[in-house]
Amino acid sequence: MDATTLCNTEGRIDPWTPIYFNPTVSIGWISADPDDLMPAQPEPLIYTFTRPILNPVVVGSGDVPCVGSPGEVIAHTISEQTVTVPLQIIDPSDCGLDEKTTGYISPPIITSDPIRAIEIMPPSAMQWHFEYTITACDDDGSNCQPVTIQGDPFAHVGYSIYFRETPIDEPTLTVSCTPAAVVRRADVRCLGHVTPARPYTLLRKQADAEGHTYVDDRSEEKAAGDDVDWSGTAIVDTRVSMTVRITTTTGTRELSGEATFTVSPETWPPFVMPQRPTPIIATTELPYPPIQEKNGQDQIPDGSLGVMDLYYDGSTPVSVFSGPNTNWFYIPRSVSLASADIFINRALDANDPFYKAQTGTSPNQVLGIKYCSAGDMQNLRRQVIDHENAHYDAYITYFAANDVPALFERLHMYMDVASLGQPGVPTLKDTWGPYELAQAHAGVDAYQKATVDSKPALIRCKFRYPGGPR
Amino acid sequence: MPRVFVAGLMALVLAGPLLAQGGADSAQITSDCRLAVRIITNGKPSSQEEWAWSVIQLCGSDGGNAVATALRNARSSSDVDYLDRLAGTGRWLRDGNFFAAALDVAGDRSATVTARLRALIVLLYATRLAQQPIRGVPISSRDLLSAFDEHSGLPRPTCGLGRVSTGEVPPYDGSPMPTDYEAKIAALATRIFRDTTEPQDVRSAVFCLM
Repeated sequence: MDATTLCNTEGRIDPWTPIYFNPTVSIGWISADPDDLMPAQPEPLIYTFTRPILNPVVVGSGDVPCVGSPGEVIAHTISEQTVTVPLQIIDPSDCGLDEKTTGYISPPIITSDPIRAIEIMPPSAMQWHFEYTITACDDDGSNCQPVTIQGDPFAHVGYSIYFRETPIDEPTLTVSCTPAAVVRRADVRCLGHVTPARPYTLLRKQADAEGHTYVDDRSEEKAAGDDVDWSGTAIVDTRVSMTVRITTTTGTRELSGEATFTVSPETWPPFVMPQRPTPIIATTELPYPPIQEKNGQDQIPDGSLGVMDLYYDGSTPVSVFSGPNTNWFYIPRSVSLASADIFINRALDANDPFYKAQTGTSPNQVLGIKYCSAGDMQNLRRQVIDHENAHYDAYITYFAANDVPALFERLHMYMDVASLGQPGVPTLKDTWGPYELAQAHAGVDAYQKATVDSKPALIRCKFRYPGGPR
Repeated sequence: MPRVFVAGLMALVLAGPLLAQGGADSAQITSDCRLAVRIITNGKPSSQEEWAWSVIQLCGSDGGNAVATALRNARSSSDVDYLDRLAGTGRWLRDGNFFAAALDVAGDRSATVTARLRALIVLLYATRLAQQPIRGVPISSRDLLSAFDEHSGLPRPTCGLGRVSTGEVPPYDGSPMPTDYEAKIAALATRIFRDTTEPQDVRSAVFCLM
């Protein structure tokens, strides 16, 4: 079969022009006349619709034979099913002795699926011979004689297809996120909605935020009317996109849509400093015996004889486990100050062997090393406590003037949970720790250094190492 | 006799701040370290044990060897106080042999959970004390424990990072750490964390190393 599409181009319907009910398309001529404008076309004609149609009726007009088969119409559906119907002579009474008539018609072609193409099989007789005898008489009825009439007509027929347009069927995927402006840590819900409702396959969900892309490409079959629902905690401004595969009357296609949501910070309560701590003797918090030297100078390094510890409560990051912000780590709730401690080295405790070993320089010594005395140790203890209390006061001052909770509130970092611990993947401790330090602690640390650590406790004598089991 | 020489040399190098105060002290520390190393290595209850623990971080690689031996010997122990002392030494002595012992015990399924958690603290000190500024020390075993979130499948230990100090002094150095110690820690942590048959407390604790 020659699947020519000779005239299809002429008859093609532009899908973007208005489609009228019961439109018609003419698809060409089949002719046996070699001199006809169109070449002889005894082979089937195939017309492929740019948009599938319903209930077509094929009409062939011209000079067509009453003899033989008028041909047939084969409808090809979008599901590759075929339905064949015969063409029939429109007016059998028109078939006279010349065995010609004016056209064929098919019954309406009813199919379960829309029809994508029509194939028209030509009449079986393209040329034929007729011969018949009539009795011819004069006008007065006399002189009657048999007369033989014969001819070699040829068929020529042009076809029109009447059809009903399928309903407009251009499905769309609409993605929306609500609320579009969300406060951090609240839930955001992103929906993918297919219109008109029909079954589809979810292929991919993707979230892009601050240069990081999270993809969930687990395929999922969805029933008609079911939305893609991607919900979870919102941490960072995000662009969400979804891709679905859907079968329409014109075939299978992939549709994509996207939406965005923006995230604004929560307002967290200001820090309230815990009650000023009473200094306590350190057990494991400070080095023992104490260190007296820093950078070659007789200076008490911070953290040697005393230290002030501030405990932040709730500063442990967690990760989002579902929704567009999956894998983003953040601080889940407002950070507060749980407690404060001031530790002093047990070497500054009068009952400690190290303290007791500081007996000072002999009263007769004039030159040489000046060893610390009990009085020096008392003075040192007082200096250390004052120094650590100054740290406490500096915290109060700084927190009153700076919204440090806001710095914790906005901490967020992308880390692929599934790849945690794999070679080459930065660890959470290596990334979050320095990040938190730089973002939330750097300011107050600098302030402490500038205002308190610039005035270290000074010691003007040497420690004497006690030695031996005590 | 050579052993005495080595111990003395390490004390000279490693106990610099104290030795700067005079030769008499350095000789005393050398002598103290010999005794402290013996006490810690033997691991037997001793009236001088508390003193030995306060000295051992001054003893350089000999001190590191002593606590490494003590940690390996304590792998079957559930003595919380003793194991806490061992782990706490990691705060003040950074030593390659101690690190190796901690890596060994932390990954040993036949060791007690109590011992493994303390070994993990030593590993955590190894990484945390290498950072500047030093944060989140000292480390308690409580800091490492957490239930696992039913949704994310991740634990939420604080890892002790909520504690911020106004000053931290670095540890004394013992024998060198392996150059790839971070990779060794990461490999161990990943193996344990991904093995759901490991005790939950150990899996939670290694999350602090990931």
